[in-house]
Amino acid sequence: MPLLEVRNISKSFGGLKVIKGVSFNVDKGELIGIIGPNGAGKSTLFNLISGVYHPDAGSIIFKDEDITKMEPYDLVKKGLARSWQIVRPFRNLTVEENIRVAFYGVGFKDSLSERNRRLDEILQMTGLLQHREQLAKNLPLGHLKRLEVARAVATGAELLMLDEPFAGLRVDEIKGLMHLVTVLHSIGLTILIIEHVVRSLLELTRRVLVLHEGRLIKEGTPEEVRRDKMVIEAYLGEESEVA
Amino acid sequence: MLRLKSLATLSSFKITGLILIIIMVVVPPALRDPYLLHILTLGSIYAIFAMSWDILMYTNQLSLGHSFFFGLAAYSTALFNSSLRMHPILAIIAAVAITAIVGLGLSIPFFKLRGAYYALGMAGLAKIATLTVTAYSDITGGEEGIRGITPLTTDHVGNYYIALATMLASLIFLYYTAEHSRFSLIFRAVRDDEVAAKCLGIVVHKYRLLCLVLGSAFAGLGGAVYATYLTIVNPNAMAIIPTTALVVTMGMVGGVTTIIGPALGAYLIVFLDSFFRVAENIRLLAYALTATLILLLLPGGIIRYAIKAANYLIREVRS
Ligand SMILES: Nc1ncnc2c1ncn2[C@@H]1O[C@H](COP(=O)(O)OP(=O)(O)O)[C@@H](O)[C@H]1O
Ligand SMILES: [Mg+2]
Repeated sequence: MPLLEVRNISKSFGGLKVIKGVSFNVDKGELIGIIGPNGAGKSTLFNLISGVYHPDAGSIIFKDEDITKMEPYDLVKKGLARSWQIVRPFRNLTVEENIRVAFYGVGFKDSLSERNRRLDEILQMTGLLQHREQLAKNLPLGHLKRLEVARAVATGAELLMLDEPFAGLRVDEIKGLMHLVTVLHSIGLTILIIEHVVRSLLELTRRVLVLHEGRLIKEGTPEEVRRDKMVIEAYLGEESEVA
Repeated sequence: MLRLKSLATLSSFKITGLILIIIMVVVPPALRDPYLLHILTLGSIYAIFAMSWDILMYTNQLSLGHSFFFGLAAYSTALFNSSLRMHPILAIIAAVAITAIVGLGLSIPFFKLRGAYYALGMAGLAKIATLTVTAYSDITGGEEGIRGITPLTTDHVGNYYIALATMLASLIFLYYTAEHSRFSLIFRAVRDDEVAAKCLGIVVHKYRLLCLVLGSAFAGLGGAVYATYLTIVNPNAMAIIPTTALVVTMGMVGGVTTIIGPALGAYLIVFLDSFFRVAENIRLLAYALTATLILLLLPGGIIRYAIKAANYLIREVRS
């Protein structure tokens, strides 16, 4: 039984069809990349799975339960968390408080000391320990991208959906964050990761889905995907190429 | 959000508060000036109202029809007292309960409204309610309103203490809830980004509902005490102009989402209002100009500067 099943979902905004019959499965413990040119519908796909929007047709199954019409605050308690491509920190909260919101949100019943231990662990893991007291609005993008991951992890989710976590970062920052993703995967989290181009996924995953104009046009290893004619064509006219 | 603790060390914040409270308890009654007592009583009543408006701002609910709750409670108190012959205290309690229940009910139509739509929805509500109470003159007295509400006391000092005590109790309750309870973190998160909060498990509408119920209940408390104090209520109490305009000005001049700021703003505006009464024909203009100047020159409201000043004074006194 797959952890997540996306069954033929579609979504339009006004007259614009953004997702057109997308289906795929995610098994427990997988790390899957999703790529596609700008406007392909990648972020919308995450919005649909995380309950921010609801599909017009099709269904989404998580741990054998139909979650198609559920709200984000219920889904996160079931073990499904996400990050945002355009970071959405609570700007007037400190790094630590940002993470505590997730603790409250999922309603951890642990003791205070256990919660504090967990907080320290997450801060340590995401490299934010020295910045715990800083207000989010004063942090550079590199830290905010890690805070996105930290908050999602803090929900205790089984499935992490990361929307372009590397976008806009320097090479060294990307390296650090990639390592973090690897660590999270190795401790058993299932991860869906959106990237604009396939390059950063080469070392991370063996399975990449390609979304183009709201359809999945290709699935394969990063190497297969970057050589695929249809995929290369999908990226034509973009300033960046698939690789 | 203004974090009071970061602006003042907790102790000097508490000291200032305590000194202010002692001054307010001791000084005005000692001065034996009925007009001053009247202004301070009105200030205390409006302070409750202004804080009730402010608690809604903690979850991004800009109520541009807040006079609806104030007026609803004022009219309910008047009717309970004059038609049903309820004791004024019982009338106040019943009116606050009704206002809170109405606030709870309103959370349904206002569930999905955000930003300007929410604000305009509230304004529309106040407008309709004002027209309604004016129209049903056989029950509400129309433009004239309802007179002869039984006062809690006719003593100036007594009225002052009732208003002050109610104000302080409201302030402590609302300030604690907004700034020091487990809700305060959630309020701030929701204020910064509702969608991100939802995706971390926060059931945002619950907290909006909580603020709406508190906001309507305390606006009701202000309105009910107002009715028994003045012993008369007319459609102005419910009207956007002047009553909502007044509470929004008080909140903004005082400092939004600080609870204490809007309370200070209320006293200040009531003072300004009475001060400019000497020049009746330019009163509104003078008062609006002063409020605008404060907003322009002291962004973030007077609370911010009041705390700085208090800190400075205490430091001077200590050294
Ligand atoms: N809430 C929305 N309302 C209207 N159009 C939207 C909305 N969200 C996304 N879109 C549109 O859907 C298309 C896909 O957007 P998105 O999912 O963000 O693409 P990607 O993440 O692949 O770059 C774009 O044309 C975008 O303008
Ligand atoms: Mg996107």
